[in-house]
Amino acid sequence: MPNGLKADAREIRLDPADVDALDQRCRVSLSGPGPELIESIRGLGVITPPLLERTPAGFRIVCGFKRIQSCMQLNINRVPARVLAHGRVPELDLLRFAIADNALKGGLNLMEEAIATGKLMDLLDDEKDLPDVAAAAGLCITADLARKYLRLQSLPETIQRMVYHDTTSMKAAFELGKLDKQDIDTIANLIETLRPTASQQLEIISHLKALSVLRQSSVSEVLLHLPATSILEDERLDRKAKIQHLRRKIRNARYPHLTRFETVFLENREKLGLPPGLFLMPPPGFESPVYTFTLSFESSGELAQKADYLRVLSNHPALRDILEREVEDT
Amino acid sequence: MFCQITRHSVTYLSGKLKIRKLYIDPQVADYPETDEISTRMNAGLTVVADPDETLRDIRNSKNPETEGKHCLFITCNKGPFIRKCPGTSHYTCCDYHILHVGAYCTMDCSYCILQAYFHPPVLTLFVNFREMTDQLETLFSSGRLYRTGTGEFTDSLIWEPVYPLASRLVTLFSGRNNAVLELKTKTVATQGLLGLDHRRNTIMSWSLNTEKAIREQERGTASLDDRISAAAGCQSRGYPLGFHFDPMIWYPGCESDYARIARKLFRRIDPGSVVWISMGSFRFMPRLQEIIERRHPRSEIVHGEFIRGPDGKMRYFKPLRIRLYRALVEAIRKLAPDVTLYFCMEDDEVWRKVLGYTPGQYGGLPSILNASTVRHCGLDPKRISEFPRNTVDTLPVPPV
Repeated sequence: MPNGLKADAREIRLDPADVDALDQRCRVSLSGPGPELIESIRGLGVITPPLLERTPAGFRIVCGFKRIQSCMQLNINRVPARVLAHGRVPELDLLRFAIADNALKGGLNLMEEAIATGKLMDLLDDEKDLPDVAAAAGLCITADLARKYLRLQSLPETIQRMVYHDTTSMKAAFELGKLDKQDIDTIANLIETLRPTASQQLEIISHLKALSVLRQSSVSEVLLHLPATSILEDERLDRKAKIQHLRRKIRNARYPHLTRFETVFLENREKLGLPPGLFLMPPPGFESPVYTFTLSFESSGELAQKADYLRVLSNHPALRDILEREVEDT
Repeated sequence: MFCQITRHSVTYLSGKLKIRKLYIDPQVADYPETDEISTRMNAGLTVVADPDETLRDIRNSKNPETEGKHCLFITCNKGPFIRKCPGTSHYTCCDYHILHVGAYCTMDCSYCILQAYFHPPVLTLFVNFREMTDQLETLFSSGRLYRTGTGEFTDSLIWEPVYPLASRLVTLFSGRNNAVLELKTKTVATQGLLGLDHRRNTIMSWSLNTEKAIREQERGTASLDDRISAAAGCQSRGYPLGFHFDPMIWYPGCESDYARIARKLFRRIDPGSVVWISMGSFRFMPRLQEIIERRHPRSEIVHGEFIRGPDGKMRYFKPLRIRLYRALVEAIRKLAPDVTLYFCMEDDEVWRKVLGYTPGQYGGLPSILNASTVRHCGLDPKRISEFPRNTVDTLPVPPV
């Protein structure tokens, strides 16, 4: 339990210009001050004093980067602060103050937690202590999560930015990270433009990566040949429709035989003219030869009617085509 | 306590990889087989204080699958030597028995399941030959027919130059009426086997693939021509032969490439000496994909048109598999119409659409393969519990 804060923090008023804002050792939040904070400080002043450490040249920030930044923007030259004597509190404890201050206030997002984890690990003698040390600072970091966070921090900046802004999930980020820089930028641009869901992103990334390997070309070239531009620039389509069209185009390119086979199945099913309440489902991936009819009914009369219909259907040439599913369909 | 033989450049014949470390389980340190291997490798011994740590190091290394190919662990098999092939649910299995003589492989096929099967994957050789012999004797004294092979968890012939286990097994199986040994390989290390009195109880088998697949996916293996030449050499010494087109890999033009192998094969090989030819398309547990992508980032092999099968494995979309099999079967049938063909882990629909029948119509796949074994390996069907009333001429034979 760090005891330096109680013993050594002194409240003073200082000029923000004396603070070394470039010293980011304790910074875990990447964002700048929001307009709400700036307006609050403009109206009420700094309610909770930032925590600083005295340095030979002035001060460094431990907690309160956004508050100090707001004061600088507002040209406030007397700011209340709690100041720790130079070198009295171990660096690890300073970092824990900083993490706890952020984690307990508004919480840290995924990328900020990753940064905090990386900084903690840099200061720990034994990585096994991380879960306990992090827990004391308000973070729940398992060894497995720590590994993922370190991996996240090793990804290109474009991807880290997307995770920070919650544009992409950690899983999609890792998939994206397997690509070349140019491909990362192309897909990042696509994701930022269309904002597909996390699972849609994973699908798009995985298919584009596969197509890029198969065609021995970049993702940009793959998209150019689809072509994806016409979908993205089609003003008649809203965002969701663009995503849907694009996914279909990519899937058709990725699974040409399977999608053609699906099309033939759908055409044949259409030919069956199934009434409402009767639905024919193919086996997953057309692997098993077993097809499934779903029949819903409200009365025994309706059941009998549909049962009669099924009997007739069993001789329908389209059903025969579906069941025979000759490979020439591909 | 383990012993480590420090070696820096034991270059192995079949693969181009080098064994850098040789670990010896103290339980087998004074076995003659251990002595034989260390002598042939011309290595000195060093005591290793904590072998688990070394294995952990391999497991935690950046590329454990490659690291494990540089270390050989000589130990004893503490479990059963003979195991039923696990097969997979929903598909037809051939009821094969694995003779578990070692693990992993010096060669480096991108698609190899062994990369994901062992934790960590380390080259392993079991040298408690006496226990294996005892277990085999029990098997030999049973009435049923056993088709066994050493090529499931490793390649059957990679260790022949330093530990001629396969040669000893050939002699051990020789003359038995209810068991055959299949030696399955991608090497050409057959020299030590050619002069043995095998009495057709050993089936020499090669895994075959297109030249493109061998070049791009089967690193460190013998070329297609060399494999066929080695098979022809064994044929000339009276060995029955087997061939395995597994995994068949889909790529543009693959159908004609596979058909071409059949033509090449039967220019050198007499169909009458072939016990079976199996076919299986590339399939994998999803966890293998990560390993392949990490080790072979530009490999196209995991980017085929796969669907997830009911057993959880990824397999090519079924119509593609059927197309691929049809192309090969058509080519084989033209040249070797009587050869027994079978699929490894396929369902009745594939059998019917490619071969025109299902195994169930002929007593099941094990029965079809047993019958072919009896015919080609010179076994007496009357002494096999499955065929008490059959002669060789009345064994089940699927139509051509």
